[in-house]
Amino acid sequence: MEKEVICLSCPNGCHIVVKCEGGKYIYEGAKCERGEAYAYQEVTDPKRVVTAVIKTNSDIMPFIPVKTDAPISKKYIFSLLKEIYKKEVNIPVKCGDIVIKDFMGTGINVVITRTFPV
Amino acid sequence: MSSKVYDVAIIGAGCCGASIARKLSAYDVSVVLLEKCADVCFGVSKANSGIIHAGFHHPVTSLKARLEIRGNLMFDQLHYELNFPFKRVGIIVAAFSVEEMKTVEHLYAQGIANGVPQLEVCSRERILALEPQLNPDVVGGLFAPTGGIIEPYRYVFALVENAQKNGVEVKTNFTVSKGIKEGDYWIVESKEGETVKAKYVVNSAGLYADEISKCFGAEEFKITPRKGEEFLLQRNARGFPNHVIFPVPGKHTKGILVIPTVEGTLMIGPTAEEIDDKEDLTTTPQNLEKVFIQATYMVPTISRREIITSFAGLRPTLPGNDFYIEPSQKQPNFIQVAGIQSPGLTASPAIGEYVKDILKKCGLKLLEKSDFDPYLPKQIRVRELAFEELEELIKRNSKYGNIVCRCECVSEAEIVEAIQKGHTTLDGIKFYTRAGMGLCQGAFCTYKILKIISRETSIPIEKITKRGGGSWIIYKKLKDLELMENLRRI
Amino acid sequence: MIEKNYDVLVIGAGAAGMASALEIASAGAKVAIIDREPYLGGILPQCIHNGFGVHLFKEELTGPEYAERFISQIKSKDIDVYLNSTATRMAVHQPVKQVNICSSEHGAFKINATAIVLAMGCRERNRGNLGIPGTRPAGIFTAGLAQRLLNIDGYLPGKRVVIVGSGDIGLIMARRLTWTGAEVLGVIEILPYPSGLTRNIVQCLHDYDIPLYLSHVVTKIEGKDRVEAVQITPIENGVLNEAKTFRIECDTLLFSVGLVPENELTQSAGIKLNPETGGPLVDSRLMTSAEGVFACGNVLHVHDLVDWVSQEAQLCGKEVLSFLEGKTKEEVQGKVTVGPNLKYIIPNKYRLRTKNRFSMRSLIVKDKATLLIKQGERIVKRVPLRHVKPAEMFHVEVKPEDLIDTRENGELLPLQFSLE
Repeated sequence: MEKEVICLSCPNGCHIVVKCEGGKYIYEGAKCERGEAYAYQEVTDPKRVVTAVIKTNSDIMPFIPVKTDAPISKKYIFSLLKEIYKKEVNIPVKCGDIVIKDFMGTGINVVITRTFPV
Repeated sequence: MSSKVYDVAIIGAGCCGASIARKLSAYDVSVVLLEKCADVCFGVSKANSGIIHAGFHHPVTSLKARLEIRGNLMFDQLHYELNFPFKRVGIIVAAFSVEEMKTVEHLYAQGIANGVPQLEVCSRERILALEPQLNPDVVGGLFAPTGGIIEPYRYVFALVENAQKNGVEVKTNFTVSKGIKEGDYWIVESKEGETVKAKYVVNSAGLYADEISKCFGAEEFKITPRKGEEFLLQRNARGFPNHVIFPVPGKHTKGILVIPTVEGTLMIGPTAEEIDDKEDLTTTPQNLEKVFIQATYMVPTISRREIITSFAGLRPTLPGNDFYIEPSQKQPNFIQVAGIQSPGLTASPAIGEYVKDILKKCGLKLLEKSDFDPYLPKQIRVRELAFEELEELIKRNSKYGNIVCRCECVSEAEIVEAIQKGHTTLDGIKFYTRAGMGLCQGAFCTYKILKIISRETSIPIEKITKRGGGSWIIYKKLKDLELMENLRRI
Repeated sequence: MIEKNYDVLVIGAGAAGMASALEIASAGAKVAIIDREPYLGGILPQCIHNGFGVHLFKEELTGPEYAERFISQIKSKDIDVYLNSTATRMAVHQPVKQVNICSSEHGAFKINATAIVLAMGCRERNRGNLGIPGTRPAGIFTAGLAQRLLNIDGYLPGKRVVIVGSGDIGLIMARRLTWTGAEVLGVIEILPYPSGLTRNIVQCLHDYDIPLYLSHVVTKIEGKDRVEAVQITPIENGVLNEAKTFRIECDTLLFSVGLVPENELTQSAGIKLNPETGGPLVDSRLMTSAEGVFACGNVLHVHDLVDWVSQEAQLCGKEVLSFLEGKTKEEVQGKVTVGPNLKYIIPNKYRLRTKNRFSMRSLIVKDKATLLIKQGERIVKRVPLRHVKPAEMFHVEVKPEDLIDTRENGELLPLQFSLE
């Protein structure tokens, strides 16, 4: 297996080539260990923070923004989005309120990111 | 099918159709104005440059010239009655060579023959004194103080509104597909499945006047579209002149102009290019480049950085280049108003009169209405009000305090008024109020206007259009979205 | 006509407006803040993605969360907030300025203030400004408008989208639209390199296999009523290669082609603008050519990171307070000159007795660059910069101890900046 990854840990943006040979990971192009750690994560289980808007029961603020409170495995993103789109929350909401708890056992929650009403 | 038979059906609600409708509304006749687009003035007239010509461009023998001169004179009265913006800023024709000055002399002579008042041949000093922004290479020119500028859609809207006030009915989204003679009236059918009956039909269908004539079995002729591309520059743009600046005219075209619009923006263009496709409103890089080169030759300070937008329009031309305004020789009670290209807008008030007289000669009884109301109140524009006046207005209607379009300072109340008058597309509201015409080109007001339209008309957001037909704006509401099949696997 | 009196009026309640208002109100001055939207936060509430606050709060926040940090404070301070209110005119009388404001709720009224902070932000460049040929169908949006429609109102603008411009707003919208089930068919960028952050290229484009066409331009828009397709042409050796033009069928076009500071109100008051930035010319106090009128944030110059907007606004707030206390009038200021390889520097003046903070942008892309600062012939400072590029604003401090009081004909020698 060989894959190229752009490390986002610092502004250097090293292009790291990751090879897997005999169960061991070999990195080329990383200028530091953070890069190797990042590349490993990206290649084995890439994760992303997901942001979206969720329906509310209010006419004045029909949608309210939400996010995952930690990066979630990419493979869950679309099922997560489908779940978010199915739900509706009741106003008032506060920044930090949990709307989906422990999505699919990942330990990651979806939280409100905007308080309404202010 | 309704059994009402109108006295007159007018096909095409551009400046001619609207002017004819308004003229007839002063008489005891029933009139219906039919328009294929979602709103009036959405055809040829929409892209008009807005110039009220002085009357020296065409020979005295042409119908064009006679109607242009008469039309020009009628604008003060119309402006007084209907309150659309109009200014007699004057027209300058700039000559850059001895050859061109000869053409200027010819235009002068033509103008005098046409009876244009206050026309003046100018020396270099005089023309530069009148227009200091001109390229100093100018050698002289012509000055016609009676030339002017209007906002064409506000003029047409005002004509239609006043016509409606006096009893004219307007049907939009009515695309005439057939005309059938039935006894002493016409049955006018539309593509949309509607029908209207009228004793007399006026064909003022702009680009499609030839096809309408064919639908009615009247004369065969061909309208050739001639495209013009223009740029709009912001208010306070460099090079904003005191008068409308023309170059010396070419064979078929008055040339690329520098136009100080009545709202204070700057327009340059239009080009002139014969094309085949009546629906081709594309702007092209070559023509836009041409516009800039020629405009900056006349006024060197004009800057590309101040462009707000560019657009194209189509002139409906006929061979022979004169207006074709006559009763049909082939079909009774069918009046042709075709080939109305420049100076059509200028001539339109006179065309209204002229067609009324034709109808009279064809037997239409015209009794003046005793209760004809020629007036329209001045449109309230927050932008133009003194602050104290605005204060009073907001107390009466708080929606005047909610500024929706910040670039043009247009309030919610004005937008609601436009909607109540039947302008329910984004472009219709734009032309009525100017919301969306400014520097941000709708980025900050579109989301507000969509909601106001939906609230006032109950049209769902997804059905609101830019200008009717298939010009939808929003695909779906998130609430309606069936994402299951749409979301792709990564 | 109701007239209200304040020490300071802040025009705009986005990142810059809120930070400067808070700074000023914390010292006890009487502050009013106005905004034309029905909520505080400016553009932040619609920026639902994360990446904000990394420098200021050492956390990765979403736009709304970043705004909340300031909104919650505004509520607790004694600041008069006027929402749904638009400033229609500003008169810079001395010593009291007057602004005409209109709103549905409060009617038409005037605010008199000893100082004004301009914080109106910016607008987007659009298809019209670029003069792109073709038709004018429905379905053409700026990225910001599409973002607003989607994230605040819940309206999806289209199904098959092409994005023009690889700046961050365009990239973010590429991902956002993909996450709502729209198909993003490509991002078209005129430069040979993307304008946005690498992180966004990876997480918005690579993650979803959205093609990025570098050195390409939209040469025609097709579609009668609604967008039907765009024609894309590559640039080779600095020229359009028409022969390689290709077509992408789509129904929506998003333009993310730059921001323009919103200074109509500023200009109408006769305040001088800097043609390089599109914002007002300001001295080392961030004061414009009108005494007592200050500017900060995107209205002054377009920023890349909101953290720096807040920082600039806080500094601006401090300057406003000094001004109110009459402390800053007598301080001598010298000119700042913009030398080779720099696009602009803000502010346009420097002073000797107070710390100077300069914001600037490079014209070139370079690793291991040096910023050279001179007063006359004397080198003040050499600042090593690891990497410079036009898309990344950077800041440099020049302290009183770095400078000397050297004059010619009674005027301070200019402070010259150049990049090598």
